[in-house]
Amino acid sequence: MLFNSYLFLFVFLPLVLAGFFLIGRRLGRLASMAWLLMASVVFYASWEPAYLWLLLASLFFNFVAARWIGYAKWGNQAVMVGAVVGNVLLLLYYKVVIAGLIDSERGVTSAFSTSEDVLIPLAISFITFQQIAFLVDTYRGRLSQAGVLEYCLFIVFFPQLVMGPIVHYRELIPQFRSKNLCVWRWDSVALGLSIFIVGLFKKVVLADGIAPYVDSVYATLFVGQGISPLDAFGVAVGFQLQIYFDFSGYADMAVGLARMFNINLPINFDSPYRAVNRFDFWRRWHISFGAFMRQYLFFPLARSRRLRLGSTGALLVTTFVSGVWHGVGPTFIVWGGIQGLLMVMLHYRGELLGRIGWKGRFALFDPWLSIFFTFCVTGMLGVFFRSRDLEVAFAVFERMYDGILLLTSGAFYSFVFDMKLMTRYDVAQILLMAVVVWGLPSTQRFFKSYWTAIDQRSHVPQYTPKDLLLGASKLRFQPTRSWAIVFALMFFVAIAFMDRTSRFIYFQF
Amino acid sequence: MILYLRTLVFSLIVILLTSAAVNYWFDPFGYFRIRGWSTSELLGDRVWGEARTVKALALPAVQVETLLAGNSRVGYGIDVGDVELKRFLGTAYNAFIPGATSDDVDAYVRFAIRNNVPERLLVGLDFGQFYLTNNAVMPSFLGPANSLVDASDSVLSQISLVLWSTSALKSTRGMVARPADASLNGVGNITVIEESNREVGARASTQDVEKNIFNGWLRSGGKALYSKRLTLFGEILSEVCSKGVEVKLFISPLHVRQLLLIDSMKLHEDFLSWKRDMTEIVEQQRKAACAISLVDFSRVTSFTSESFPPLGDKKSSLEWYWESSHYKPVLGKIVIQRLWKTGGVPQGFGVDLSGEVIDLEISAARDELIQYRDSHPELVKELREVIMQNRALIR
Repeated sequence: MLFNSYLFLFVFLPLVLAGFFLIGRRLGRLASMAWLLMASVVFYASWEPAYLWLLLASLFFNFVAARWIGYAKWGNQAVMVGAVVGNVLLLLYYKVVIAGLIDSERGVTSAFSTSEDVLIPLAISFITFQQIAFLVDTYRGRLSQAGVLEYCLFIVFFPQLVMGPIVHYRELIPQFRSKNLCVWRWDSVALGLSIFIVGLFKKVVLADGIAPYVDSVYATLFVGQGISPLDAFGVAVGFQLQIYFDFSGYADMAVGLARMFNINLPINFDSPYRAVNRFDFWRRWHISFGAFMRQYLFFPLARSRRLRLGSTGALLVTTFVSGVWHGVGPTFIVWGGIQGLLMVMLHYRGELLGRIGWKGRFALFDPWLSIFFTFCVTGMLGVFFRSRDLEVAFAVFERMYDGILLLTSGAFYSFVFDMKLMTRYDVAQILLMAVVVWGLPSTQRFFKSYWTAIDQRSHVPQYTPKDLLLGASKLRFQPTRSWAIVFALMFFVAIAFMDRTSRFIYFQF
Repeated sequence: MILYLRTLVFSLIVILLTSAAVNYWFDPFGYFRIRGWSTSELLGDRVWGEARTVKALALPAVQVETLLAGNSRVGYGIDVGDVELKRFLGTAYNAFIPGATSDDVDAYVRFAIRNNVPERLLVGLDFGQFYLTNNAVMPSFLGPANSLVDASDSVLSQISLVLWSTSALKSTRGMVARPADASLNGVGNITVIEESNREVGARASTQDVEKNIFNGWLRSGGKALYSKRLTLFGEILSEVCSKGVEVKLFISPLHVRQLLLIDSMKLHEDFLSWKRDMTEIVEQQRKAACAISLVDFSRVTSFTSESFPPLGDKKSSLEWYWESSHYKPVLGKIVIQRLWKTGGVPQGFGVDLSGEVIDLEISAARDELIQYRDSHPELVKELREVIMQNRALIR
């Protein structure tokens, strides 16, 4: 069951919402939490019931380990290390062994398959990350006593179960314990629904709208056919926009759904395509994952006196692990490796530029120029990320190079009108998505006056360029009739476009 | 906030009701649709949804001697109203579903035999039904196709099935949001195909179809789904056989252009391997004393290699095919005659598949296609060019 399915929207969600508040009113907070837990388990099992045992076993194992770490007088460190290693091995088993085997059997990279066929246990990464964070925080003594019900709900709470955001125990438990948890609040439901509609629109209309084009270009390359230079550029941009709207759409839906239940989740996106460099990008993209990697991998490595990696070594290891987490194929390794190198170069840019006498030359760079370059780099890296193998990735780059040759030789029309796979609808779709990304405020800024989601970042970007569309910066959500009609229209368009339920790209991660 | 939420819900209801009304009342006679206007293409989607809905409503009441199941190839290729065919089929109902996957076939067959068991079941098989993802063609119902089987026969249940049909939403989407959206149905409907053949000629028309089919082949459902479908198909056959129904399975007479298209996707070996899997399932049923047969019509024969008129020729039409994906009832009649093993069917059209001959037949089919491909380089080139323009009708 997906958020973008009729079953979820018109059956599951209304039932769970009604049950949650009715039970809360009649039987109290704990009973409504139990209802929510049961609903979340049903939500998980609706995808693949066979993996339910794994989820329950994992919950049991980690809860017992955390109890030991929190209360036992000996072996705390050993249990913590053992439990974390156990979690990592489980993740590796499914992500590397199982997914790798099936991929090689299928001959395709399953991560980008449009099939609903799930290969590895759903949400295994996000569940594992949250449990690792819980174990480590328990060891560090940062957590208060954890009850079974609270712990299980914290892990499987359905809005954030499948693709995050990765939530910390200390962020969610105080909210579960709030006396007002089960009190029906019109503002929470109205705002939650509105944020959810924005997410649904992003996923169904924008991301899924460009997906057939992106899929067809990569499938054409896969079967050994050629693409035009315009398609090479088109697919690089198209995929970046697709993955952004796919993932940020999910994040908005998660925040919106949780808000309906009076819960605030952390934000996961903050205008990443307005980032001015790679560091800035990772502070804005998949924020909870970045925060997790920083807190539980980068800092321990960088501060380790035994390993002596320093911040540069720690950065390289972190980006490498991040790449491997997405997949073990060479494309992901190249993707992670280049990310690491670019970030190290950026870290030492002052020194590097000083050596060649260029220091200070780029200080006056217009932020939009930096944004453009950063997006170009993201798009190029995205080609590695999306391609089935390096051969396909290089075929895209080769056609890009041909395009540049065409343009530099003045054959502008040959370049633009050689639309082998791209149709005018794809061009319109890409333009529409670009307007939303760079022309309109982000969900967070649009709902600014009512925004209550958590921000996990230690350093919030100081500067976000204004929206390019005239007057768009002033667009702010107000609970007025006119906005209600706009949101009703958006919801209608989204459900009308929802003719085929497509899963999210990050489901397999 | 209460006012905001009320307005939102009220607006949504108004929009949904208005669009549904427009959807059903606009162009009720398909006037625009059959003239190929862009607005008519939108309503093409509705036809599919409706075809399925009509089937869902009709099936419980169907009491026939022969039940036919399959996709649009069976639908447009076998005319159960043909007087000559009645000799073989008796009373018959063609429960085809355009774009049916094997899941659809399973669901509809189970639904049909629940109350009224026919004497025999004819199923037109295609590789794509097993190979393609569920998403290749949307199901007409919001839930899984199997919900049909679980639905009761009450009027309320039937009405709810219609209401849950996504066809209204789909066509409304097309109408309000994508005015020039070429629907899949545009090439899966005989009226539209004939219209297109007259307007652009049979060769250009079939090329349009092939672009669409090519896009379909890009959507593999993966091995897990394929295996699941094989298992399900075996189960439905067991169920049907246990009720004493005679089962006649046949692999559609694919035009050689379609075979070459499959070959160009590097899927021909998978196609042959699927034939082997089908044969194995049939053998298992035979061992369980089921009256079952499997005949392969997808080989290179004088029928399946019928040549298309050159581009620009809008007058010539084909004898056996609407376009390369759909055969005409005149060929469908020969298929039925062959299944009943009457005389007069040209030698080589229709090969009985069984465990003993499958290896030999697969090898022969492989050699035939290689030979045909090598002797027709211009056709291979043409199809390659068609593939390169495959985006024209993807949506």
